[in-house]
Amino acid sequence: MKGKSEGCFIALCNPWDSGIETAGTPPNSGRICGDGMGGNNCQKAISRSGDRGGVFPCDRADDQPTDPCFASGTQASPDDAVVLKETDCVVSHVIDRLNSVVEKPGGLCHACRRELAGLRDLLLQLTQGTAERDILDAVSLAADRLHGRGHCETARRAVLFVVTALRYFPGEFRMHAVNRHCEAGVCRRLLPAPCQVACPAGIDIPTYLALTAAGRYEEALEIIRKDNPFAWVCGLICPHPCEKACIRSHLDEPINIRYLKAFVSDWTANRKAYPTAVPPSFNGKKVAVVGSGPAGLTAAHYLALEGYRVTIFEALPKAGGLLVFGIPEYRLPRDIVAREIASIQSMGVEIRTGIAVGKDITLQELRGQGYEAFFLGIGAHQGYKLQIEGEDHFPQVYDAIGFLRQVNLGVREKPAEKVVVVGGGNSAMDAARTCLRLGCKSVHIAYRRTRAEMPANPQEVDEAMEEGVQFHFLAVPVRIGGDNGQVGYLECLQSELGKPDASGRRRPVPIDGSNFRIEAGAVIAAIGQQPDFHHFCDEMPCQITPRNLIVTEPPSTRTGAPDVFAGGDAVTGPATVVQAIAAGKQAALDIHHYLTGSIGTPPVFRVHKRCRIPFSPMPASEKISRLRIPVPVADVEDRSRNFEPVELAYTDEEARREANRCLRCDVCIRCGACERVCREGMRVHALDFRQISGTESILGDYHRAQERCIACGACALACPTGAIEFLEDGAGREVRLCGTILNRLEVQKCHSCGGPFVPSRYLDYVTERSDAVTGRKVLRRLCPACARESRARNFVKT
Amino acid sequence: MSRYYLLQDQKKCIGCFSCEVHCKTYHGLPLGPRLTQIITVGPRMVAGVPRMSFVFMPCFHCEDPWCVPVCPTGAMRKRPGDGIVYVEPSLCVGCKSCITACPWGAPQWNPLTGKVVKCNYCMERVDQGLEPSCVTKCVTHCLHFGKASELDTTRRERFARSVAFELMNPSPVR
Repeated sequence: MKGKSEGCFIALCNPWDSGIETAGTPPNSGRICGDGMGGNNCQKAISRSGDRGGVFPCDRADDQPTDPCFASGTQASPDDAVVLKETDCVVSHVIDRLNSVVEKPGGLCHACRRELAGLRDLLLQLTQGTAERDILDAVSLAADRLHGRGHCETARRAVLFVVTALRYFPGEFRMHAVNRHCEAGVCRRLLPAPCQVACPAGIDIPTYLALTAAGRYEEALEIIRKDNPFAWVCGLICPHPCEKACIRSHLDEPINIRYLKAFVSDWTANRKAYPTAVPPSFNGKKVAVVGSGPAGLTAAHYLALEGYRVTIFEALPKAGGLLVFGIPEYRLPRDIVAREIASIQSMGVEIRTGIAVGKDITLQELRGQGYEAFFLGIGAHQGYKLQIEGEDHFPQVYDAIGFLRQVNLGVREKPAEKVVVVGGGNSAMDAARTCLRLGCKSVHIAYRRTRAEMPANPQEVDEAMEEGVQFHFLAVPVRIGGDNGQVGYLECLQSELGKPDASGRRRPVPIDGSNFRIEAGAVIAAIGQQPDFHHFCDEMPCQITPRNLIVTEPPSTRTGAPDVFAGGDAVTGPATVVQAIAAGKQAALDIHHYLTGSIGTPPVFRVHKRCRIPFSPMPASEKISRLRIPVPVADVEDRSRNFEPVELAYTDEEARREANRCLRCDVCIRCGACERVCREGMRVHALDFRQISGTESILGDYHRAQERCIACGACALACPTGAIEFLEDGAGREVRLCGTILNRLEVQKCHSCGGPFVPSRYLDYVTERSDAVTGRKVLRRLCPACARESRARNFVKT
Repeated sequence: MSRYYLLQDQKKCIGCFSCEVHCKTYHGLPLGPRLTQIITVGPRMVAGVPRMSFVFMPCFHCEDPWCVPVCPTGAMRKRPGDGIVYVEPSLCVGCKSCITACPWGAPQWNPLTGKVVKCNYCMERVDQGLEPSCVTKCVTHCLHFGKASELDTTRRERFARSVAFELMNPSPVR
């Protein structure tokens, strides 16, 4: 931090951060210099007070003389300047600035103080997550009014912070108002739950769990569908990264977040009409989506919600992409996919099947037809080859994705009596289990590492094993052999695990001479897929990586061509449905940004807190004793030879019980403030917290509070988000954590008025401490008001 | 006992509550807490005439206050210089122990801040040589504030006796 002396000026900087330097000529007053001792150059804004003060982006700190905000042309005399970093929240900073003016005695007339305090309260709603969508209009209206017609100089100066911040950082304000999300993580009531952060589609999981727990299934589905148009599909097949992040797994097992989505969809579809969103009227622009997989359909859904007319072009005869042609029917019944697609079609999205863009119609022709933007969600439909001897000599060597596509197109013929599938991913499991269902006598899986390294979902592996698929681990295929054009065996080398490779998994090292053969009439290679660009021939509209993936600039979906966007497996390589959905959402944002001709960087899709559902009270013992309810699956005998769904359903009661296990991490941010005040402040040690990460700790012992808590309520006052509640009624005091009743103590009655006094455990705590000093036993039986009155009577002088 | 006294001449007091109003205004208190209170006793029949008494009940800033040792965080404290008992708001966690411990119910709960507030003789004013706000605005001038050392002997004794009598009450039952 350096500073040339120029007027009265205090730079409030941390020595670790970059500093502020005054510029040579007036009225300039601040420019950021140096990197600070921390060496990180992540400044976002410079904020300074004074009559040309405000919050400015670093690169526009010198703009103000031409800025209409500063038309008054008074002498610049900054009082102080602060550099805001990426980890600082502009909204909170502006509130602090207003607070320092409003709270300071003097300097403001009554009217201005009231207006300024009102403005501050409006902004406070933003940081509390209680704001309505149109609050920003109210804020800018109030700010402009005060800026133009404020009576006091101090008020006009103070409101400059709001005016400039709104002008230069509208995105941050919108993020607070609409998404209820603070990117800097400063506004603690806006911190999203870990499950929501983990979900690629950013579904507001705690909210729909709370609604499910309350039996409000339709509303729960509505919440899910706001962020994910494939609620039902994801409820059945999502690999649920959310459950890995679930905080409940630190206590016992995560909530069954995935299946509850399917439950609410099922319930709603069976009792009410499956919901469809109502799009606004046509905005005059047409968008073409290539590929009707989850990415394309999601992009179409969100574009239709913005009023675009969307046409989806699908090369295959049926819409759905990998949902229909990749995932087997026993995991995802086709009528469910059809229902979700129909719901998107009912928004006016047209799906044209059997048209391969590039071959049947080119992008150029589509541009001629008036399509202004294109989304390539063509997926990865071409299997990798095994690259081993004999692979090309036999017609019975398939790739998994091609095989599954044929089966799903209706060719339900077993490839051979004995089949060996090569690979350890989800497609390998799908191919193997499909073979069983097609009637194959024996199905083998050859995987070159061990079970621990398998990328497939462990539950799927278990189910495949149960159904009789035989696994050969540490088997590296080297040759496919046979006679007369018929596959006879797959020859493998036994291997052992060596050093980890680039993916972090241990590389299999073949043992010389350990060859063995797996007898098989067909071989299915399931070792990965890549996008298939052959339709486009030479006129590929965008760049392609050496691994045959479309080049974009993550997190955006823009490609080299300005009107072409891409996402899903075609960009990431084989990934999950929910990642494709996330890409579709981002693409819709990018395309909307492009077509509306907006300037600046396009918005990045972020989590969106939908609402805050009130807690449902529940005793601690019940909350903690409820274990995860696994979704029942059909018997092996019943399921392994047909395409009926493997997973059965929850009952109403089970769904609600499971949803009720949620710890409501959307409210409790696991900061441990309650525990600190109980332990260090009160020294009661009623809350026993367990550290789960560097900054987070959670309640580990749900029973101790009942034995030790004195119901003083300090924890609730310390809680920054209102997760802990302290409730007092005439009969007792109750302490709740996110609705879980940790402790309830009955209160004694006042001996004089009969009103509530305090619980005996609390009184013991107080008496013990005071008696230790006074050296006597004091009996307290009157409430403070009665005590005061009875003393007053003694003071009456007659 | 603090170095100051705050005495009420009950004969002059008309129960107008000016002291309470100015106390609340000065401390910026919301609905609820009343740091000083005029407690109405009576009416009782005295010589055939009904008579009401108004007792001014602020904090007495006891010599050995019970509220100070019960405070688990050290927020309730006694100024070493002059013995004024006050709350340091930054330390108060809102457990209300002091409210329960005090025999007069002097500490009050501020629902707006979630902290305890209590009469501190308006110590910023006292430090500037001014009187507490209640005394300044007492309509009938029945409130008197000053240094205990400057109090004349009789009144001092009377005051000491009245408070001491209370504290030395043989059955400390509340």
